[in-house]
Amino acid sequence: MAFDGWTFLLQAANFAVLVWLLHRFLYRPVLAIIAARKAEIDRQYEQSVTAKSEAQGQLASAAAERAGIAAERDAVLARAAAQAEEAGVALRGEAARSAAGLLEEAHRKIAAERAEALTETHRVAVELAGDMARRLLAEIPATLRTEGWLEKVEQYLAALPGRERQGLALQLAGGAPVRVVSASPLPESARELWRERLGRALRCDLTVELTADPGLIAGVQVNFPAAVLELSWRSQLAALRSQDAPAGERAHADAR
Amino acid sequence: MIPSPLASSVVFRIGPIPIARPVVTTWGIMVLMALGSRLATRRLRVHPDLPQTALEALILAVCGQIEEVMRRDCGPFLPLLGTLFLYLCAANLSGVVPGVRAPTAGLETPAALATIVFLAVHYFGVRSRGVLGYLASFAQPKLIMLPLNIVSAVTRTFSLMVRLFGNIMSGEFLIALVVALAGLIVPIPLMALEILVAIVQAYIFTVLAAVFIGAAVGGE
Amino acid sequence: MDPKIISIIGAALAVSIGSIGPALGEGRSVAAAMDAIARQPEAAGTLSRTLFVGLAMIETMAIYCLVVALMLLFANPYTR
Repeated sequence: MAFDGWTFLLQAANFAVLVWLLHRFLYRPVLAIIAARKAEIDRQYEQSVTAKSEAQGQLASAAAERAGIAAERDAVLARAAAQAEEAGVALRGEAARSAAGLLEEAHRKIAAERAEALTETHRVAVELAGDMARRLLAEIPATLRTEGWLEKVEQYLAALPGRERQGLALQLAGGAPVRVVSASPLPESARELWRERLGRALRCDLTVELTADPGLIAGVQVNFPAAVLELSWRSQLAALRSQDAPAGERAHADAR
Repeated sequence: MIPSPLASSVVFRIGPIPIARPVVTTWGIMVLMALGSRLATRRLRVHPDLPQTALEALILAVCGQIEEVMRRDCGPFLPLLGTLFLYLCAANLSGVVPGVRAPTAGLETPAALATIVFLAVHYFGVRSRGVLGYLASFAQPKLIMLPLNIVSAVTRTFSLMVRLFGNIMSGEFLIALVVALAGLIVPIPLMALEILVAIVQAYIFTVLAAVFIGAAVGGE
Repeated sequence: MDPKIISIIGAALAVSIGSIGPALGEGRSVAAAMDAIARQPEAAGTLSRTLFVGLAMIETMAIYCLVVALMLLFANPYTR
């Protein structure tokens, strides 16, 4: 059995040297370059992760922006709708108001016209009544027509306070005549009657002039020098007309 | 008469030291590997070209095998085990080259490698567990296993040596016999088989060394 | 008998008988490994590595026999 101790020792030493050589020239550089590449890859991975998160952030912000735009659009639409609604309501209100105004105007106009027509009708009716009365009274004799009024004048004068009656008598003291206007011409005999009756009522002497005026319809107008006493249908119709017109308007207002 | 496969011829002497053929072959392998790795690693870049990629793949494959066997980072063990694998591959395959005899076909080179592995097992064990911890690991799992463990530590080193030596030497011896008997073409399949055996033996030697060292270092 | 003849016979017996056991063992282990790989192909890497290591272990026995035979033939101290 040949075992060479020197060869054994030399081979052991050789192997140790070879370990050192390869460690120096092979493993260390290769491992270093692998580690460097790993670091590079890690760095790039980090970069890519950063870039990815950045991109995601941008995406999120873009989405948020889009959502904001959508919300803004909705808000604008809602605002426009609200404005349109408001304008519509305003228009409708205005239209309603103007319609009400028109209606009221029409009502008022109708009322005015009705009142006018009423007044006119009233007037026509009164005139018609006067006309009819005049025609009817034409049938009655003039003395008869005046007799009644003489009594009325007497009653009126009798009802006057004493001072006023004395005032009237004083007016006649100068010899001025009392002018009696009747609706139809009176006979001469009536003048004596009127003079006697009026003188008795006023307790003084007087003269009477007789005049005719068909406009009175019926009744008399006693003209003193400074006073007029009219007791005729004309004056009564006029009083009736002026008294009834407000009554007609009042009736109209109640109807509305 | 066939020359003894166990003997190694002396090439020359430096003073009293005889330099045998395996030593000379090993020197040649050393020079080639050192120069080759120097050239290969001279221009390393982060973005590798094809040779650098192949080199890195080789290193990472060795590293991956070591990690798979030892279940821990290959960093501290790569210089020893990687060099063991690469040198054994080169030495075993050098027997295929005409005129060169594989250094591992002699008894001394496997003995030297096995001895280095034996020492490295204790070195890494002590470094990992401390002296007392490593010595206590011989009494695992029971105290009665202590002599067995001690004997096994020696015999497995011996078997490591004899396995490598026997495989390579028998292969070379067989090829020599066949060449002497049949001449030209016939040894070629045997040589191909010998190439496979050479790589497998290098792999097995390295893996066994890794297993031993891993057992000494202890589980994670 | 000549010690050389005895050595040669011893070497032949050592190799022939000594390779029976490792041959059987290797056959069994390869069969088991094939079975395991067929059952679980994804574990083929680990299995084949373990198989190679195991085969090398078993083969060591045969190699021991071969070494003994070679020592009988070439390094026998009794044949000097």
